[in-house]
Amino acid sequence: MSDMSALRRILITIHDTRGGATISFAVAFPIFLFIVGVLVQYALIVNAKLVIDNAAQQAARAAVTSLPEGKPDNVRAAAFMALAPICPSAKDSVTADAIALAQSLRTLGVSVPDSFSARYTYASEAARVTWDPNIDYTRSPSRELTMKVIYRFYLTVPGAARVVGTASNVGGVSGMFIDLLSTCQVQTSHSRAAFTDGSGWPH
Amino acid sequence: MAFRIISILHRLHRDRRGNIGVLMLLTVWCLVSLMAMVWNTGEVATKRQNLQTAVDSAAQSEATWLARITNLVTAQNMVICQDGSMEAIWRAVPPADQRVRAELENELAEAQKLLSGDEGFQKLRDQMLKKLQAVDTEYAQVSGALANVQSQAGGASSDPKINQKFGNDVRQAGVALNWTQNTYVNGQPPASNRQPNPPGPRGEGLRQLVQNWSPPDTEVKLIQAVIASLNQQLVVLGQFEARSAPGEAQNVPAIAAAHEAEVFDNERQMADQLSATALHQMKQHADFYNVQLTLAVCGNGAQSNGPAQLQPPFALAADIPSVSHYDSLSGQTITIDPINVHADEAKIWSPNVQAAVPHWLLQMFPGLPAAYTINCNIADGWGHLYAAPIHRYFNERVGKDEQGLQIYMQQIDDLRRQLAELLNQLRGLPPKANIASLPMTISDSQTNVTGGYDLIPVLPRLTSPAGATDELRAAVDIYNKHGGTYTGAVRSLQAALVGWVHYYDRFTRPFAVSAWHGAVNRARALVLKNLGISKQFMVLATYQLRSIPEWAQAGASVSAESAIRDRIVTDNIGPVSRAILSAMVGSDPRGAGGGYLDPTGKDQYLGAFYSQWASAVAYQIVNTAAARVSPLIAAEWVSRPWPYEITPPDQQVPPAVGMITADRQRFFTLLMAARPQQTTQPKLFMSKLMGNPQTPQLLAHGQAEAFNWMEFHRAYGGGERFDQVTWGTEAGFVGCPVPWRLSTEGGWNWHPRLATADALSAALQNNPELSDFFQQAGIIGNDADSVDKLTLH
Repeated sequence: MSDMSALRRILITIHDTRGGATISFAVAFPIFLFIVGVLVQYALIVNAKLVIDNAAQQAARAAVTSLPEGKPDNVRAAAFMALAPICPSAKDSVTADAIALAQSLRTLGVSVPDSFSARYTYASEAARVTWDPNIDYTRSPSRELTMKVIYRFYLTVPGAARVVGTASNVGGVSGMFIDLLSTCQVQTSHSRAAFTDGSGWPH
Repeated sequence: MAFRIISILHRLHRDRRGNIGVLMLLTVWCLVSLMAMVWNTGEVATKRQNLQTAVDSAAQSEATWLARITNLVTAQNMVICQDGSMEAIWRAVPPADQRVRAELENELAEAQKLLSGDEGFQKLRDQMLKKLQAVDTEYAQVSGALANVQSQAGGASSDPKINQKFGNDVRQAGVALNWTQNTYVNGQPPASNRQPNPPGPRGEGLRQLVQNWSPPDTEVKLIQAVIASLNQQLVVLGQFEARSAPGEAQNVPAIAAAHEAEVFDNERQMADQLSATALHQMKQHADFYNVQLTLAVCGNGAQSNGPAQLQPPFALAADIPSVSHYDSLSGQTITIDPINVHADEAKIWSPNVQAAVPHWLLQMFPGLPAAYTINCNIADGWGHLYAAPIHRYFNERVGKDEQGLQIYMQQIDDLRRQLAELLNQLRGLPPKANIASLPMTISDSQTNVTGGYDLIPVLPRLTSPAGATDELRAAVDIYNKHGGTYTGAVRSLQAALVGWVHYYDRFTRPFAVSAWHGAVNRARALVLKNLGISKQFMVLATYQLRSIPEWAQAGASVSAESAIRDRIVTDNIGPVSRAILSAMVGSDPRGAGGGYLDPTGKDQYLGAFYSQWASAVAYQIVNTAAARVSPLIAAEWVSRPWPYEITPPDQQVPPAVGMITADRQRFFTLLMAARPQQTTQPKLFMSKLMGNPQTPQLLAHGQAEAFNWMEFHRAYGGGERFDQVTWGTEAGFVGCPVPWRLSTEGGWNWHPRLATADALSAALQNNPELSDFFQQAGIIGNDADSVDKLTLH
């Protein structure tokens, strides 16, 4: 009798649908949340890619005029400025260049977030801005140039970051990162001193 | 109430409808937000890129116009130079034609006279034969006299040493006489291989030369060849006249002046059009990219409203100010014309100086005058420059244009060279026939007591030893007398032969090209000076009379002093050397000519003997005077303002090259800024939701310039030195680089280029509309340091 009761209770319990939705939710929601997280992370990556594309274009534009005039720092600064909005704040220290830039922007009346210097510093550590190192653009006529910006993007969505990124530390920020690449081709301006020898004296 | 709430919650708990919908809503909101973020990022980046493209394109385009107008003005200046060159050629034709025609016609008349046997040629030949006869006659006299001396030489003195010396002198006189007659005159091999061979080009003596080189039957052929060649030359000259006749029939100076005025007018019109063209171009770009654009400049042209007006980087030559200057050489204040620089009353002119001969030199050479006049100037003054801004291309152009008519002159000279070859063939002469002069000395055929060979004067003067008999003295005197006459006759014959060899040089000497060059050069200077007086052309806005920069003055002073000293020495060393040599030969302070018998030979010997002395003494005198005067001239030269086409750099060149930054920014640089139109603002999706309620207006800027890459090219105009003299066509050297950017072929290579916006800060201060563009974008200050730091392109 008691065996029969126990069996019935089990059957009744099995066929009881109450709480099923809760269990289903408990099981499905993390998966759903993970999928949404991955989507969010990818969207952030796509957004970052657009920003990096823009940074590459800014750097390339700076290279058009700055490289022939011997100012390569302008090129990197242009890229870092464009990247700063998507950068986390550097945790280690803030560079003097970043502070000076923020100060200059504020002097000109631009509303600059407090975190700008730290973000700019992060950008300067997370981005590699490169172009053909074998050409001396200060003594070149107009040349084609490929600007390459590789940016170590900080992945912020928990869970999803582990799927697409690799662990690293940039500027004191530890976490998961992914390297994003953007290139841009331009024609540099003709150097004023294109036809001078090493001492600056004309050929 | 509480029960009711609990009841609602229970109902909601039981009611499962829409729970998926809530999740979907949250998910969709999340995804849409992400899409909005991505969209907005892309939208802003794209619109910003579009703005940058628009501004770069417009800036490049405006700079292209700036470069283009500069090239156009260069081309117009070159056309003006070409007109001037045409006038110079036109002016050169009549004097050159007259000179060449007169010369050819005179020669033709002379040749026809020769053909008729009237004079000249036959006379010369007769004279030569008479001279040969005189040589033989005198030889007989002198050889007889020497034999007479020899016969008495043994008992000349009671002293054997004197006897021996006198005997040796007589023997050497015989050696010299024999060599002269046997070898030099008769063409026999010398007695000693240390003595010179016969003087003819093929080893002939004077006698063979006289016999061989005057075959009477060829005379007519020679003269006929001359006449035929002269007639050919006159035909070529006729072609020259025919070619230049159409031009010469017109009033070319008037035509050139009219055309130059027209071109100058075009220049000004083109320059005036630049501003309107630039604004039109800017509008075209704004319409194409659908953005708002503004133009800014650093120098003149900024406006209180609207875009700046792009100003052409030129000035009228007539508007360049002259400069007053105290001339330390003349002690007067002068006015220096900025175009015809250091010319006329403003020329750098030093008085000639008297260079005293040092006392010790006077002691060494007592016959020298106490002082010589040293010319301390060059024609038209040191460093004068006519039509300085355009002289370089003008001179190049004339140099090319004169080639067109020079071919006729070249043909005439070629015909004369061909005639020379033909005449030499007919006369049996080698191409460069030379007849060696009678040498001053020859080597003895015997060794002296030391084993060496004495040099014997040709001919030596004999001196009777003390105690000689009257007969011997008389014989020596007769020898000396006839010896002088004999060598004089030999030299005279040699000179006549040389004259004979070169007799036809008057018909064969090339002169037409040099006559043409001379005429062109005189006309060139005249026309160039007139161009400088009329000042009907444009110059670079940076062109001015300026002092040599301080950093360059020491170098320029050293360079100028050296150049002036060298020039004074070069110009004076010849005349002073000749004057000193003449004085030395006349006075013979060393008594070097005492051993010679004939005056011509003596003078020749003394000339050779003293020439090195004369050169050394002249150099001493001239160099001392030049070293004294050149610092004074150089000091004035360095203190003068010079026509610099660009502002000299304030630091050493190299490394400084080309235009200074301030001039580049002021005259050749423009800035553009762009902002979107209402319709081309970035269309932000859910901007308020995305936290960007007040996105500043987008802004892009760019700087461009017109530049000349030849600024850095040595072959065209780069390599300008400011601390050295510059060698030029007219004045030899000047104290500034020669202008080239608006008047040479290298000067029309102006190009546009995008540049780093180093003029942005200055432009923001001068151009309100540019400043407004920046303010709309949230940049309200124009602190120069901050702007420079943030200028990344």
